[in-house]
This record gives sequence, structure tokens and C-alpha cells, in this order.
Amino acid sequence: MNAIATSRFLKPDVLARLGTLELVARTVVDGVLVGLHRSPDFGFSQEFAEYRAYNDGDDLRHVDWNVYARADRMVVKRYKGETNSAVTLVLDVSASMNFGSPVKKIDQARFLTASLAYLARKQRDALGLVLFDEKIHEFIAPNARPDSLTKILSALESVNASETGNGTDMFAALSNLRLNMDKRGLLILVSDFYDDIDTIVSAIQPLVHAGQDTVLFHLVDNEELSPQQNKIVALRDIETNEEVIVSPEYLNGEYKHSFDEHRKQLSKKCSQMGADYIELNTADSLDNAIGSYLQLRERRG
Amino acid sequence: MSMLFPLYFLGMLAFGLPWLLHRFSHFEPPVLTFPSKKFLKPSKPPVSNKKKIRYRFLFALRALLLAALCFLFAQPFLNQTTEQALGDTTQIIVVDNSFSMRAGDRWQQAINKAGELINELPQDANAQLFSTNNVLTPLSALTNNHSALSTALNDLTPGFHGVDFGELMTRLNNLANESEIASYAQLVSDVQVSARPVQTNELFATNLTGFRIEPVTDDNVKNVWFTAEARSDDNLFARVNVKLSVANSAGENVSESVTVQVLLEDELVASKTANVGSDASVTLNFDKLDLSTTRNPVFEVRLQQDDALMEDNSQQVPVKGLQPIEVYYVNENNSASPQSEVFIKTALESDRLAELIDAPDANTQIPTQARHAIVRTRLDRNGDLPQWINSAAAQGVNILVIAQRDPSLESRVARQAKHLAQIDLAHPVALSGMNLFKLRFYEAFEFNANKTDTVLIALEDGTPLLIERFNDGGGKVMLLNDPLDGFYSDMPQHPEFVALMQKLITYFEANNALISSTVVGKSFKLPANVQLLNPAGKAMLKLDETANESLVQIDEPGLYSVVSAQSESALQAFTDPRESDVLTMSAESIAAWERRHNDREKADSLQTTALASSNENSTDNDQAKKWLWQWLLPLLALMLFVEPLFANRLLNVSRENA
Repeated sequence: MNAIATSRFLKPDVLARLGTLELVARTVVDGVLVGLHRSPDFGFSQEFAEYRAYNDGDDLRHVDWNVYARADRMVVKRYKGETNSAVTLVLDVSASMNFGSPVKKIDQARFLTASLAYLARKQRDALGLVLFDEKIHEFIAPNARPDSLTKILSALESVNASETGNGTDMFAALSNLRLNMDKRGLLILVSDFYDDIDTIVSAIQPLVHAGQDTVLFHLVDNEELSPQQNKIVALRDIETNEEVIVSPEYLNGEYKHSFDEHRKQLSKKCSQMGADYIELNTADSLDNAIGSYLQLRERRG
Repeated sequence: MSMLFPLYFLGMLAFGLPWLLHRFSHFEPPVLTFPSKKFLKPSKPPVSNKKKIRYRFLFALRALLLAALCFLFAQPFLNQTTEQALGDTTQIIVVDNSFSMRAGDRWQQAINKAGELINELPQDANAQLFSTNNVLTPLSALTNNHSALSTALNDLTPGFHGVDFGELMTRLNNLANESEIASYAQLVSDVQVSARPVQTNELFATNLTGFRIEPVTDDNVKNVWFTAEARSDDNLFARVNVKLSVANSAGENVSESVTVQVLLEDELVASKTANVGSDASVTLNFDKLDLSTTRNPVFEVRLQQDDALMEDNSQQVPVKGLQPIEVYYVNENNSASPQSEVFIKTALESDRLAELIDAPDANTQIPTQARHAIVRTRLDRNGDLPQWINSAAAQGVNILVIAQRDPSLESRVARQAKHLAQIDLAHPVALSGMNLFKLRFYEAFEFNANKTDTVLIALEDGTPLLIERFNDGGGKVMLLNDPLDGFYSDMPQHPEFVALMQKLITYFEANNALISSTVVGKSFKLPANVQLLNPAGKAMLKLDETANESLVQIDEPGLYSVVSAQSESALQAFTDPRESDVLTMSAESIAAWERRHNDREKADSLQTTALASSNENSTDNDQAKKWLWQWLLPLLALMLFVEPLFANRLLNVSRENA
């Protein structure tokens, strides 16, 4: 009963009526079983992980002197790092995100980003935010201060993808981002990925190589996946305002195949890069997405 | 269901237009937003030339619209049996007694056929007998006593008038319209081609229940007719022009040798023979006919050969142009200079237009027999005329007053030559063709026109030169403000002066001109105080008819006289030349004429049902027709309203900036 009620509240069209993003994030995150993700790095929390033989150069403060007294061997204590990971949320605010039903992709993306930020904040992660389309519009560097969540939610509240806005240039935007990220952490990229696969890969790969644990949330809409047109229509590109006259046969055939292929290729390339790929439909509830994300993180340790 | 104008169904060919439009129509696809065109490629252009009809409902609506329009123009109706249709029908029998019915044995045939029609009338059927020439004349009252019709028919004789079938049908139509019950008309006529109206539609009497023609056929008769005119320029010799024409009833080309004789006082003075064909008229000229031996210059022109219409073979032709217009000249107290009289006399007697007659006594003023007068008298500055001039004008005399100023009253306002500045070109005197602006006036007298005066010519300083004084009911009065002696102006020395004087006298004469020729049966106006004498010299107008202007019509050809207090003139009345053309309509033309009134399928039964039995008068009269346009019209209006409603929605039509 409780699960059903929770699921109902996590539907995107219901969330859209909740008002503030903080409330959305609380509703989503509190409704989902809070799974603590583990940091891939060993940190300085209190949970013991293992002993390791002391090597030259190790910090003497981490030597377990009790073991040394008993066994006359110098070992270093290691702990599982639970928190204090740097989480950078990267949100595509290009005009193409201003499409979808029952909620637009940009709204779904804002809900998701806010929820992930709230989730990360609960684990005292440092939070950062990047808004981009052809360039970076806003960059909030990862910060562990208590007001970081508020700042990010405030930035997300102000996001409004322009209907005749700019296109997407992921390579340029993420290239700039990489220069500003000197700390390894978690990078969550939310976009509809209307770009060439090679461009996307070339934009993300340097981040992965730089040690960013990268997750791609691909936002799609049912009208993109399977256009429901039964007569010839002129489709106007939101980003360029150009019109393309297409037949329903084409939309249900060649277009659908091309779009599916794009999604498959993106998923495959992400797998090859070591990045995670999660597809999120505007009609889907967010708990599934966040649950999938947490499972993914759990699996990756 | 029958159609009055089935040819309008050719308009159904317009179906092709919506049919094409609905097959080849341009389609504007709806515009939808889409996140990106990255995965989109243009499909085939949406201009379709599909073989199937698109928007079938709209197409059907438009086709129905066109069909309704064609039906409306075709005027569909249903024959229905109503009480009115079954009721009595007024039988109208019309006998043509125009002049052409005198040809051959046409008249006897007409009487016989009309008698047969009367005898064939259903018992107790209401009928009325009419004769027609230029008017439709009832010969009997509407009655079921058919013997009264026969009696009226026997009293009928052919006349000299012409007939016009267009006017006849109009009158029959009015007659049927006034009748509360259906009217069926039958015409006994020789159906001349020349009596057909210019507009064929005038032959269609919509209010008639039915119409039938009983043509009077004759053998191939031919007739020669002519028009003649005699004119003399010098009172000594006359010229007679005779225009000959010939026709036969069958419409065949004929050529006839015709001898024309010209007689004067019953003596043959000239004769000529010419071959006249039906394809063209021939004109014969008789010149140098001596008039010195007669005091009554009226020629008789006649054809020597007999033909179908003997009555048009002879005409009395008076000689025109014999008498100049008599203008009396009154020089009050011999105040005018002799030069001016010479100028006036010379101007008026040029081309023998007029004859200037000195009044017997200048102090007794205008003679009573005068019709036109030129008066030289002194005027004051206000231009007031002496009483004796006003009295004469009131008697109907046209007077031109030429101002003679008392030198003691003259006010010489200018010594510098002046020119004309204002000419009333719209006045009937017709001053437009004259170049009067080159005239110079050395001395002009002050002259104040009355409020009722019409200034025809004025000098550049506004002084009137020629005015027409308002004279209600009498003769015309004109004032010329120049003594015409050649010193006050150079006007009398210019050729324009001759033209001006002649125009003034012609304008006077036009006021009193009497008609000189007319066609029998045609109405014309006679002025007041004029009597019309027939060829026997008997007065035709009653006393009260002569008191005012009257509309007169002459019923027989001949030479009439129009007598007034001042003069007597001849009036030549001749038969309508169209009546002399004996060519008759073909059977096809007659059938087409009848068909306009009668339903083709019922044409045969129409005669039998209308004539044989009063109990079976089921004719297709207007009352028996249920006109469907009364339903089609609102249906058409409804479809006109619905069509754009659907078209706008289906074709996604929207207003600009809406």
C-alpha cells in the first residue's frame, strides 16, 4: 500500500505539481529506499576495511601500532570511504530538452538532478552543478558546505530551456568542464544526447580517463521513440526552426530504426568507456531511475 | 418533372472543376515541433495527385451545389392536377385584321378559320373574340354564347393598321394575368415575318395556359410597294423619288417588272419601268416635273401593275420645300436704318429659308395671320416690351425684337470694341456651330435682363446681346440688343450673322412645325388650335379636342390637311411598309413560337383537351405547375452556407492573423 502510494507520487506529472524542487527531491528520495553507495576510493571514515603491509612513503599516522606491538609487523589500516565524494551534476539545457509529454524532458531532468543532488547531500557528498547547451551557462564547483544543495536547487529552479534556444555542443561544453575538474569524483550527465555518437564519446571519454565515475542519463520521450502520426506532417526542429516534411511511414520505419540505433550505440559506447548508461522516459517515474542508479553504484562498489 | 429551360443542364459540365480540384489539390501539412531533425529526412513532397477523390463529403456538397444551381436555371416544375387546372379555361380567339390580311384571299380564310374555331369551342366554354392590329380590340364580351362571337366576327373587316406580334403577346399576357382563371389563346393570322419583334422573348406570354396559331396560308402571292417623296427648291420644278420593293409570301427570290406613273392633277406627267427584285430595293427619280401649271402641287404616284395589296399601289405625295417661312417685318415708326433692313432681309432670304414681308401698316403692328415677326422698336434699359408685342406673343406669334434705342436715353458705356464672352451652347437655337467670338461691338447699350430672361449671348462686360424672354403658353420672344446697322457692331457684315438669323427663324418655325407625313395607326401630336381634315375635307377633331394639344391617330391612308389659324399644310398618311411585306413565317418558326407556351409532349392533347371537352381541361398552365425552385432556392442557400463551413474545417483554412 505504501509502495503504491509512493510510486503514485513519483510520477513526473504529479511531481510537476509539487512546486519546489526541494520538495520534489525529498519526495523522490525519501520514497526510495535509501541505498548508500560506496566510494570507489578508500577514505577516512570509521568503518574498517582491511590491513595492508606498510610500504615506504605511507603515512605513519595510518600504521596500526597495536598490530606492530603484537606481531612486529607494520601494517596500515584501511577504511571504506562512505561519503565525501565529489558529485558533479551536468544538465543539458539545450532547446531540444523543451519537448515531451506528460512533462518536458527538461522538467524531468530537473527533477532527476534535484533528486540526485538531495540524495548525494544526504551522504554529505560535495555537490557541483553544470548547465550547458553549446557552452557552459553555469558552473558550481563541487562543494561540501551545507548550503551547496540550496544553491544547486536554486540554480535548477531557474533553468528554463528556450523554445527557440540553442543547440547542443557537448564536446565544447564538456571540454571546458574537464579543465575545471581536478578532483576525481562522480559525474552525472543528464541530456537527450542529440549529437553524433563520436562527438559524445570524444566529449565524455577524457572525463572518464581523468577518473570521473560517469553516469549518463538519457532522457527520451515516447513521441521520439515512436511518433504517433497518421498523416504527413512538417516537423519543426526546436533548436534550428527548420522544418522537415515527413510521412508517417517514414517515422514508423526509417526514423524509428535510426533513433533506436542511436540509443544502442550510445549504450554500447558507454559500456566500452566504463560509463554507466541509464535511459529515462518522460513518462516514467523517477524512483525506477534512481533505484537503477543506486543498484548500478552498488554493483560498481 | 419538366424543365422550362433544359439547356441550362449544360452547366453540369462545371462538375469537372470540383472533380479536378479534389483530385489535384495542394496539401499543406500541419506543422509540429520536434526536438531535433537529426534523425529526420524529408519524405516525398506532399503535393498529391492521387487518383482518388479527396474530401469526398465536400466534393459531394459542391457537386450538389452545382446541380441545384443548374436545376434552378432550368426551372423545373411538376405538372399537378389542381382544381384550377381542372376548372374552366377562358378561350381567347384573336383575329389579325392588319393591312396585310387584305392580300389575296387571306381575309376570307381568316374569317373561315376563326368561324371554325368558334364552332369547335366546347359547349358552355367561356370565350372572347378579339381583333388585333396595333391594338388588341375586344369584339365581344366574355361569354358562353358562341353565336355572339360569330356575329361579332361577321362584322369584322380588315384595316390599314400594322401589327406587332411582340405587342400582341404582351397584351395577351396582361389579359391572362388579369383573368382569374386560365386563359388559352388562339391566333388567326397571316404571321408576317415583318411583324415579328426584334426581341424573340417578347413572343412569350408566360401567363397564358396555352397558345396556338392558326396560320392563314395562301399561294405564292407577291406584292410591290413603295415610298415616295416630292421636293421643290424653286417652286417651278419638282423632283419625285420613289423607292420600290417587292416580296412574295413564300420567301422566294422574285423579280418583277414594275411601271411607276406620276400624275399631277390626274394627268400623267412621268412614267418609268424598272425590274425590282426581292433581294434589294430600287429607287426611281423623276426630275424636272413642271409645277407652273398647277396651284395644288400634289403628285399621285401609282403602280401600273396589280398585285396582292392594291391599296398600297397609290399614294398622294405633296411637294415639300415650296413655301419659305413667312416672317413679318415691323419697323415701328420707321425708326430703323435702311441698312439694317437690308442686312436682315439678306440673311433670312438666303437659300429661300424665309420671306420677309413688310407689315401693311407699321403702326397697326403685327398682322393677325403672322406666325413669325421681326419687330424694330425702342426699348428702355429694362428691356420692357410694349403691350402690343406682348399681346401678339400671347396669340402665339414668335417675335424677334431688334432693339432700337431712343438716342436721348442711350448711355454709351464703352467706345472700346468689345467681344463676346458668354454663349449658351446648350440652348435649342444651336449656337454651338458658330464662331461668334470674332465679332466686335463698338457701342453696347446698357440693358438689364429680367430674372426670367435667358441670356443666350453676352458681351465681356456682361451686357446681354441675345436673350429669350419667358412667355408662358404663347409664341417665343427673343431680344437682340444690337441695331444691326453696321455702326454699332460689325456683326451684320459677318457670315455668322446669316447663320444666326436663320437659326433663330428655324427655332421659331420648329415651335410651330406641323407633321407632314405619318403611318396609319401611329399616334402623333397635334398642337392646340389645329384642325385635321380627312382626304374628303371633313373635320376629324371635335371642338374640345382642338382646344388643347391632342394625340391623334389616322386609320386610313390618304392626303390629310392640318389647318391652323395661320396656315394649312398637307399630311401624308400611308400604310406601314412592313405590312406590305407579305412574307410569312415558316412552319418551323410558328411551331417554335407555340412550343414556348406548350409542353412539347402535351402539344397534341392540349388542343383536344382544351377544345373538345370542358371536363378534361387538364392543361399545363401555370397554376397547374408546381414550381420546384421554391424549394431549390432555400436548399441552395443552405448549401452555400454549409459549404464554406466544411471547406474551412477540412482544408484547414484560417484567417490571416486570426
